[in-house]
Amino acid sequence: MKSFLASFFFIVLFFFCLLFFTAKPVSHVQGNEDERPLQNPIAVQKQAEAIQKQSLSVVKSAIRQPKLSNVAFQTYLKTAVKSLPTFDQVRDAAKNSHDTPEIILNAGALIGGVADQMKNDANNIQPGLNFFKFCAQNESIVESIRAVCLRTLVDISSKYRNNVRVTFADYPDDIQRMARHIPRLR
Amino acid sequence: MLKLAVISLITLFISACGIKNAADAGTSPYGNGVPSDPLASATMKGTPSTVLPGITYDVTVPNDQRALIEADFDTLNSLNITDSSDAEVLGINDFRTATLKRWLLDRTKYIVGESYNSKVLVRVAQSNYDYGSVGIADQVNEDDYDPNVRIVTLMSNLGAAKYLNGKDSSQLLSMGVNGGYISVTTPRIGLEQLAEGHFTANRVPGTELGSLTNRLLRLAVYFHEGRHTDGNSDNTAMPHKVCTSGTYYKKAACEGNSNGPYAVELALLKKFPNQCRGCTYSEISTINAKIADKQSRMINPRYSDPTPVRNL
Repeated sequence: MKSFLASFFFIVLFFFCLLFFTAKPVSHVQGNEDERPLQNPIAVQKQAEAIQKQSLSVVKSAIRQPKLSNVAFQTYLKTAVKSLPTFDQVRDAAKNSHDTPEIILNAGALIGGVADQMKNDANNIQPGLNFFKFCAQNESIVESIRAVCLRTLVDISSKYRNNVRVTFADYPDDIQRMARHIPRLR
Repeated sequence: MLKLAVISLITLFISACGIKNAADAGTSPYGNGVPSDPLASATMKGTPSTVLPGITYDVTVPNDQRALIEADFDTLNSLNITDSSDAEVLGINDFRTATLKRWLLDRTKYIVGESYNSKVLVRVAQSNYDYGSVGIADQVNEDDYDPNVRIVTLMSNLGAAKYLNGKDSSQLLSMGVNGGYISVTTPRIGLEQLAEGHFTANRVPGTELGSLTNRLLRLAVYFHEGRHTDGNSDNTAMPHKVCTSGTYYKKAACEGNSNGPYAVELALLKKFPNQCRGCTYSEISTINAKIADKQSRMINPRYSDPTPVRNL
C-alpha cells in the first residue's frame, strides 16, 4: 500500500511538471531574453541551424496541412518566434551572401504561414496580429524580416480589424522605409 | 599580385559562386574534331531552348535542371504585368512578356552546368589582346575575399567573369560550349553557369521545385545575371559593391547602381506577388522576404550607363 501511494505520488508529480513546463500561454507572444543567441559564432551558427531545422519541419507540415488546430497553431507560433532570424544568425548563415540566405526565405514562409492560418480560423487572428507586432518591434531580429512583418501587420490588420489602425509611422524609419517597398498583401 | 587579387574579387562580385581560374590551353575535352584554333569555331552542337530559342544549353546541364529552367522561362508567357513602374530600371518601357523575353535573350545565350570545367574549357585564344585604354577600377580591398569560405554555387555570369579575367591579363579568352569555342570579346557573350544550389536556395520550404512561386523566384535571378552582361569602362559587368554596413557588412553583396543586377532583380520581384495567382500567403511572404533582403542591399544607388562593351 505504501509503495502504491509513493508510485501514485510520483506519477502525479510527473504530470504536474509536464504541464507546468509545456503549457505556457502564447496568446501574447513575447521575446525571451534567454533566447538571445550566444556570442560564440560557432554556437550561434549551430543554434541557428538547429532552429532552422525545427522551423523547416514545422513550415513544411503546415503547408501540407493548410488548416491547423488551435493547439497546433500555438505550437507553430512558438516555433515561428524562435525562428525569426537575428542579425548575427543571418550574418553567420550567409555563406553565400550573393543571394538571399535560406534562413530569411524560411522566415518569410513562416510569417506568411501565420497569415494563412488567420485566414482559416478567426480564433487565430489576435494571436497572429500579436506575432506580427512582436516581430516588427523586436530589435534583435534582422531588419528585412521586421519589414516583412510590418507590411503583413499593416495589411492584415486592416483586413481583419478595421477598428484598430496600425500604421507604418508607429515603427522606426528604416523598418517602415523597407516595408513600404514590399507590395501590399491582398 | 595585388592586381590579381583585385580581379579575382571582381570575378567574385559578378558571380554567385567561387572563382574559377582562367586556364591555359589543354587537350580538348570534346575529343577529335574540335578545332585546335578556338576562334575558328563557328557552329556549336548545342541544345537550344524550346521556350526561348536563342539560348543554348551546354551538355553539362543535367536534364532535370534543364527541364526546370525551361519551365522558368515558360513562366514568362503567363505573366500579365500591367504596372510599368520601375521599368526604367531595366531600360524598358513595360513589363510585357515580349519585352521581358527580348531583354533576357539579348543577355543570355549559353547556359552551362555545375560540372563545367573552366580549367579545361577556358583557353587563351590570343595574347597581348587590345581591350582599349580603359582599365578596371580597383573597387575592393583584399580583405574582402576570404579563400577559406566554402561558397556554394548558385548561378553566375561566367562569361562576364572571364571577360574581366582576360581584360586584366590582356589576353583574349575563349570558352568551350558543346564542342565549339566562343571568343570572350564582351560580357555580352551571355554565358551563365548554373548549379543545383540555384534550385535549392530559391525555394519555398515544403513546395515542389516546379511550383509557380519557385519559378518566379528563379526567374528573377536570370534577369539579375543578365544585367551582369551590361555596363562599360570601370562599371563593366555592373559588379556588386562591398556593403558598408548591415547584415552583409564587408561582403560584395550590395548594389551601387540604381539599375544594376540587384535593382533589376528587385524590380521584377516586386511585380511577382501580384502574378502569383493561387499562391498562399506563405509563398507570397517568401517572395516578400526576398524583396526586403534585396532592398537592404541598395546603398545610395546611382544610375549608371548600362551600354554594354561592344564586340571588338
